[in-house]
Amino acid sequence: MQLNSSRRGFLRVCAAGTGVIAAGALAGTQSRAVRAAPLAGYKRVVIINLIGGNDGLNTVFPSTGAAATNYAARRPGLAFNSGQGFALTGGPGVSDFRLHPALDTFQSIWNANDLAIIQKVGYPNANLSHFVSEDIWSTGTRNFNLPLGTPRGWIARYANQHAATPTGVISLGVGRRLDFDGATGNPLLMSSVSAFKYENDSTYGDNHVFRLETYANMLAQQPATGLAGEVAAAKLAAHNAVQQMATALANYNAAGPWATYPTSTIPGNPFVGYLGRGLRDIAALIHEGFATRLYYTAIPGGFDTHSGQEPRHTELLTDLDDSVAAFRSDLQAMGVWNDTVILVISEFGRRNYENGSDGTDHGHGNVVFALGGAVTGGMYGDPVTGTDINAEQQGYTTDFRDIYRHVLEDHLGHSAAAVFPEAQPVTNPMNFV
Amino acid sequence: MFRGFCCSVFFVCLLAMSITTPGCGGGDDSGGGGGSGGGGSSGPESDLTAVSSVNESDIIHFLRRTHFGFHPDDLANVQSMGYAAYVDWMLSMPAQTSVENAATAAEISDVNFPGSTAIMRWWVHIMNRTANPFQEVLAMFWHDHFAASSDALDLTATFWLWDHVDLWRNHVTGTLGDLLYDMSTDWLMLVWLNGAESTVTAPNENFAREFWELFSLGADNGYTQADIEEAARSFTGYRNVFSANHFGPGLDSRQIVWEPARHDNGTKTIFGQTVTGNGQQEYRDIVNLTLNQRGMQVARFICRKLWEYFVYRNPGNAVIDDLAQGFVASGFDLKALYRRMFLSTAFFSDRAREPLVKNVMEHHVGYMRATGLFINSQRIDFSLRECGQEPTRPPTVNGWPKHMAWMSSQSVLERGNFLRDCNFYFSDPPQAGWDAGALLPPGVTTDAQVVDYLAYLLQVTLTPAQRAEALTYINSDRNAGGVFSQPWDIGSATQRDKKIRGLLYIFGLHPTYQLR
Repeated sequence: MQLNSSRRGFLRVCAAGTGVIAAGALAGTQSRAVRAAPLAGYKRVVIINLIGGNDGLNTVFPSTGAAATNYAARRPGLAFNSGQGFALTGGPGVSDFRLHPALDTFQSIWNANDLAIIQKVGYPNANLSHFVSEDIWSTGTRNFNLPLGTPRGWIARYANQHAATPTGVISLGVGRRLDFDGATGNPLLMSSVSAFKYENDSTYGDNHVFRLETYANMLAQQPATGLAGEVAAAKLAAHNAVQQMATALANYNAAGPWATYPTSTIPGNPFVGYLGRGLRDIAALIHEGFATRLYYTAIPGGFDTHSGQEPRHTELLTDLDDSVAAFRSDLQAMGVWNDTVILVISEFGRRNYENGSDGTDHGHGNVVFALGGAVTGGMYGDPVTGTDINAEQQGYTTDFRDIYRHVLEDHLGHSAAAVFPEAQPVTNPMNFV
Repeated sequence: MFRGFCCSVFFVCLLAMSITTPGCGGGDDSGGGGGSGGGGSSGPESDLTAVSSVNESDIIHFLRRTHFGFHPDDLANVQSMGYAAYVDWMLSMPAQTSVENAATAAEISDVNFPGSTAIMRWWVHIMNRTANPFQEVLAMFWHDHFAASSDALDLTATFWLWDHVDLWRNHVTGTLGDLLYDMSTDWLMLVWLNGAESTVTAPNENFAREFWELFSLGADNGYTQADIEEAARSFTGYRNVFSANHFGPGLDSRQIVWEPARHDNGTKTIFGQTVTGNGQQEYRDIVNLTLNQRGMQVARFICRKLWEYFVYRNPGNAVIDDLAQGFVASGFDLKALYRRMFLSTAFFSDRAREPLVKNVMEHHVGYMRATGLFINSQRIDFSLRECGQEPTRPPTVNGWPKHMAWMSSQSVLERGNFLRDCNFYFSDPPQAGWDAGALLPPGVTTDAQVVDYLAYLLQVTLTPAQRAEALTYINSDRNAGGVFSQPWDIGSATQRDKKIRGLLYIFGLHPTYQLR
């Protein structure tokens, strides 16, 4: 990948005064024209992870029958009563469960027939460790037994087959998640779009641009062989994306006004305010028209509510609800709500009974939300029963991989056979898309 | 000894040194043809016999693997001491009292209640300035292997990190048995993997599982779920207690205490062996049982992990078995193991020269040590967080990412932004007065000499086209109108500063700077 001199000249002109290199020109086959509109009819998935183990039983709580009675008995301090929260009587209409009082937007999505609530989701052989549970979700395996050379992350396995470019799958604000481990396309794993840049140096201002040009030329001159070649490819992917990200953000901002995302932190609850930034960035990337099949973002912690669950849990779910409200509004304005499936997951649920510290300890079976215009609203999986609630923790009857598999195959239209090769003792095919 | 620049080293090529027999002191500097030592029967990459001589490039290879990268002073030290003697010196872990005291003075405002960030800064301060970088590289290796995070501690307990960090810095050259025992009863570890919540009525399997799966045997290698459940019963009895006013009025703290009533003192069966109740000593008993019953498996697991970090990835079974047998025969003597590895022919084989990806500490600390461009602690720990490796805060019990996982897109940009911080925060007290020109040894004056010296200092490998690119850079500047010719003039303080910093920034971004 040698760079000819005319390209170099182009680079140096383009980069004038911007502080960042006009990197797209360097990419050769990867270069991309400026876009200003989402790809029409392009199917995508957005995953929101509620990290720490969301209390699913208080997120979607029983309001009638033995389930409600047992729920109230096991959680004298934390249970909601049937007058609290939001009913699920509109839309597809059921009345046995209600939504947490923070989830008013989720109710309106339910009423629009766009919210699937999947109960008792988990994996074989419950494990109460955050790490193990996160690893199970991230690898898409229970036994971590993958053929030698197979990427560990399930998203990596998907991307290598169907979306092996830097923008094929993207994460925001979640660091280097195991889900992406082994992806060959150098996927963009960004802390945020606005932070995805080279910091400038004002002292030697224009020389900074020159330095980056020199560096970019060296990258292009690096032989593609060996580990250095592999590193150069990864660095080139990031380098090329810098300008693309800046352009995407500028185009998105110029095309506004857009919805207002919650981005403020709350004293004592440091994980509030991140999801709004992540989803706003995703809206900007969708708006830019990247061919991205999967976005991954999170509320990056706070759900591990062993003590003093309220008001922290309410603050977190309010953050989720408000962020999703803004995101939905943007997607609808762009006309892509019907092409997008949003999954809200968490590594495990919590115990059915509250502990002595006004909190709940690690559990297993949990609720997953799927939402978007392509989703057929309703309750899915097996409902939580009074018997379930009298057990120490909820079991599971839907393997989380059945949800991922369904979305990959029936929404994105890609085979998931090689993505989830491990045999499952329990299968419960989903049909919410 | 440290930081006194030795101008000769850059120009002394292929100074070969003979290696004295293992166990003996200093090498002598009698010259010779050099080159790494001869091969064994199964090829140099598996040859554990001591290398016969090392040359300058061998020493640089050794420093890049074990010292946060290359520094001319470290090279000079090895050359003057002799390679084998230097290895013995670094493995003796000479006290670093003065740098530790300086770190405390600089980074710790309250030794009783240091926050975890203060301790991290203290440690990084030492990494940056110690005379024995290997001590800290090895400490990071074990910290990654027995990964526990200060995130498990609140401010009443972060002072435990003094002991936790000390464990990795000062207790990793004895026997593996002692290390496993010390690790098992480390207070942070007892909280991190729930040992302090594990009781006779509710044993917690978390530590028992990781003790074998991640720390000593490897997953599914010689233990069963039933063994885990039984060992969990042995690993009971400690408790995390809150002590009000421990350090004086209003100064609460947490302590780990032994409570015999919480320990399951019944009989257990592990690996088919009977383990009788032995109170607090059962922690030691399980360590011993593991080493006695599964010795070779443990030895292979530990040797392979060390080998993959320091020598090369995916070693064959033969060399690992060879190393492991010696390790077992020595009574799991870690110092002897390290010594055998670093003195081996295999360590200098072509296979061992295949590059490995630097972790963030190697990248950041190595860059600051090589250039002298130290930045203030807040900027360092901000960057460590952005780049994804904060000492004392591994992300999970499985440690930090490995190899190419360090090269994710945001990380590579943040590594670049760290270089920006180092080179262009002129006002940071740690580098106030830093003179770019002083980095150049006498005799390095022309454009080509400067380019080649700085590439050597950072150990980047330039292709001819890349070298030409660097020469263009040093002989030009840029303004709003574009690039213009400005021939290198070492006499111009402004140009010298701008272009040396610029080259250090560019070379730090180079793909080969990410490798060691």
